[in-house]
Amino acid sequence: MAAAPTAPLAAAGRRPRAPDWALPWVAVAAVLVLFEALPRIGILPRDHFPPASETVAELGNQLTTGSYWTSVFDTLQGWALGLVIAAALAIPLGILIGSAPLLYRATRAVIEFLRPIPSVALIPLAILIYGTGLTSKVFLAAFASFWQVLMATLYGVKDVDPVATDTARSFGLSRFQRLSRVTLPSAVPYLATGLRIASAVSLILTVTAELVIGAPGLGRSINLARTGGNEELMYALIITTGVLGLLLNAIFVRAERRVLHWHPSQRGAA
Amino acid sequence: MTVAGRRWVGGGLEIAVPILVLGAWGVLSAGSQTYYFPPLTDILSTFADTWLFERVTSDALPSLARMGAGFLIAVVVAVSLGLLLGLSPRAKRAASPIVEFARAIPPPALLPFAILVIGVGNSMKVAIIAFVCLWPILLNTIDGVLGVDPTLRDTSRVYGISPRDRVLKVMFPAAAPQIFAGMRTSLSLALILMVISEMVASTNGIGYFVLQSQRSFDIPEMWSGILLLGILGYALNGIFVLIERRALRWHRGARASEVS
Amino acid sequence: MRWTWAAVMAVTLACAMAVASCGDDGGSGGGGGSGPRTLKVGVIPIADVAPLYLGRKKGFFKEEQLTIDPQVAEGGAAITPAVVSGNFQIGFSNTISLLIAASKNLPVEIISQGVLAGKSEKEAWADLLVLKKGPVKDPKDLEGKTIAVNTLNNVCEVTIKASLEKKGVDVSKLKFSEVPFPDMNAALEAGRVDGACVVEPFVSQGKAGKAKGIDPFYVNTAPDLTVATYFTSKQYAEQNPEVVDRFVKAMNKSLEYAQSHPDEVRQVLTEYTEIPPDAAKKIKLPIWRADLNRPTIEQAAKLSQKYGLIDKQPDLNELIRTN
Repeated sequence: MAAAPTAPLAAAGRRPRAPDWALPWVAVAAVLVLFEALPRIGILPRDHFPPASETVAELGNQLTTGSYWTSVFDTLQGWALGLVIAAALAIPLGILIGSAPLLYRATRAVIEFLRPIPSVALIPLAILIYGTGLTSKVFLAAFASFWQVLMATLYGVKDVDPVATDTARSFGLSRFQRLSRVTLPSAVPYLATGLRIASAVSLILTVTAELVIGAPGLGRSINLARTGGNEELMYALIITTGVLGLLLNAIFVRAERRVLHWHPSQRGAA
Repeated sequence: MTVAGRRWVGGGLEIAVPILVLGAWGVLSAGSQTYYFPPLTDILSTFADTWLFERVTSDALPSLARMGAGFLIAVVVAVSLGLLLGLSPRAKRAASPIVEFARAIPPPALLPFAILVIGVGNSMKVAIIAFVCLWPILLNTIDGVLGVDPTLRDTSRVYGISPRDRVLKVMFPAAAPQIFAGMRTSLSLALILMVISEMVASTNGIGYFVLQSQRSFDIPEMWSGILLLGILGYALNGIFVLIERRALRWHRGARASEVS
Repeated sequence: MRWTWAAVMAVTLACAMAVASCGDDGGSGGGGGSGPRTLKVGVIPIADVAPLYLGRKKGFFKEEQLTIDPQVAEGGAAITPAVVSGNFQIGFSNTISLLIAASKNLPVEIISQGVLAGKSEKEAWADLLVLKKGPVKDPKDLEGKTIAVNTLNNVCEVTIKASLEKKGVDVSKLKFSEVPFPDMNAALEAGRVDGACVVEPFVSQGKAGKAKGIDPFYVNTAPDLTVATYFTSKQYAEQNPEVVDRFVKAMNKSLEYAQSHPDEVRQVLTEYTEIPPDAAKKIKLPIWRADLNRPTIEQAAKLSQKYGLIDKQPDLNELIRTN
């Protein structure tokens, strides 16, 4: 049944339900059990895919080594720089282009052309210009995230309710005031989602760049584990990447909730 | 400026600016000696030799077919899942961490697992494309459903509209703009994934061509492939916008007016 | 107002393009080359480059006043652009890649031996694996089947074709699929490919599992084939000839040392790779010597042309550094 978006009804006679907070843990436990069983049963080849318990054990091992945390830090550094640079460039640009229709038409072709260029294809160029360290990786991450934030800002600004802007104009608000009091608040939800996605993109590109170029970080460690034939370590590091993404996303969701507390999408639901 | 005048200027700019940029690139790269940045003229002539129309059937079409399949699967799965998760906060809470975890895994790191489970053929590539394109659409669908005006939801329930119709005819259309935004993101991701999926165990494809050219130091060919990817991205996006416009034309019709 | 913005956008974009296209000045200037130097060396995290790490550990490079800063990359595709642009001073790459680069006029120069194939099947550290219980019993059975190589149109493909042709196989009937080394054994076992051209540590891993080797292809192409070398850009070699000489001297010492001290090699392997220690004890070590073995490079060049990887022979005197 389509559930009501509010707290569960405590109707008499209903089956006891798992408390809300336990749900994610139940789901995660289910997945872990699945990946423990599959290699042991043989559906996944045991030689090449270690059961979850072995991977987790290796992960536990790694948590005590300094090199593990250095890798994590290096990756986070690349992620942060990539995202910040992307946002710093894309938000003002997005607002500008979104609110000036002629500008939008002028730049549309260029944006739509540059946007789909896969960062992967740009890797040799990145290496040539920026080398194989942090700068290269930040460039690739920023390039990919930039478009996310730009498109989100653009969409948000353009999607503002024209009735609202017209009303504001008829009330005599200046262009700038219309922008800051009507357009931007209406665009913020799009922007929030866009930033959240851009954060995920930045993380993925950072790790991908580390994998392919060899910039220090989790991606490079994954590559080392792979070429060494050490699957437990490889999957342990991949799990780390996933968990990192999870944590970063949770931070964004929290922040969104606070900033957008007035917006319908935040009402009531989990 | 009159509306008609603005439309003319807009159209003019839309054509003029890209040409200006291309021209600037052409002029700046004209005498280039750098191995990895050949003159634009070289790139363009290589482009003509390669993609008009020699390698279209051998590389471009298979790539696009795989990309299309992956994208469509992603759309169907993500929208269904998204509607479900958006409507059931409990399901969403349960699935949330897993979704966020899975999508943070960088695609190249998925390749070994994909080879293990699915193999080295077309299905593996389609699966990878679908898997990664899933997430933006899923998230946007969930956000779209959550963002539906509660009054709309309550009203439709009060009016006794069946749950199935509530979902299909009220929630889905209301969330549609955001779903389409997610689809647009995924479309560009699909192109990227197409290249990544062809990094391994490939025998044809645009991404395969770009990567092999890189490896064989055929730099003008590599650039021609990148150019093609840009053109395809532009074209696909344009087609998508047309479809979006038709599908959403009822939605706050006034907004679609002068721009886009 | 709108015009101004449009103009600003256009100009900014043009400038961005300009900046991007003049990024090539990453060269490390410096004079001829005495005095201490730090060298960035692009490597792949495999056993082949153990001498570099071992030599660094034993101080051979320090004797030449060189500090080696290894840059770990996934493959030649990342190393070669970095060397050409001067971001790395030296790189490690297989011979065929360098031959292809030279035939396309990329300014690279081979300076030192990297790793050799071994003189006989006994010394071989790379092998063509097939399933022990599979349908392929000898190389001829591979006609019409798929062989996994780690990079298409590269060293594995050329050497497999060369060595199988010697065994009477019709190599035009072979199909190749690109699979990274770490995934080859799994692909073989799952039946996705029929044969796999594998190097350590995956040869030992495979043979301990469900696979057997039927053709050590490097050795069978040419005994003591120079499989990979260290190289630099022409620009760097011209501007820093003494530094290059010093590197080569220390490298040669490291190569000979590594060949005569296998236990130390196995130890250093666990330091720069993630090969588990017990695997490191069991794998077949590559072969190292200071001698570049130029005749095998010439042979590799001819084979590359024969199998269509290059159109014309590169000038080996240009490619290989002679002093």
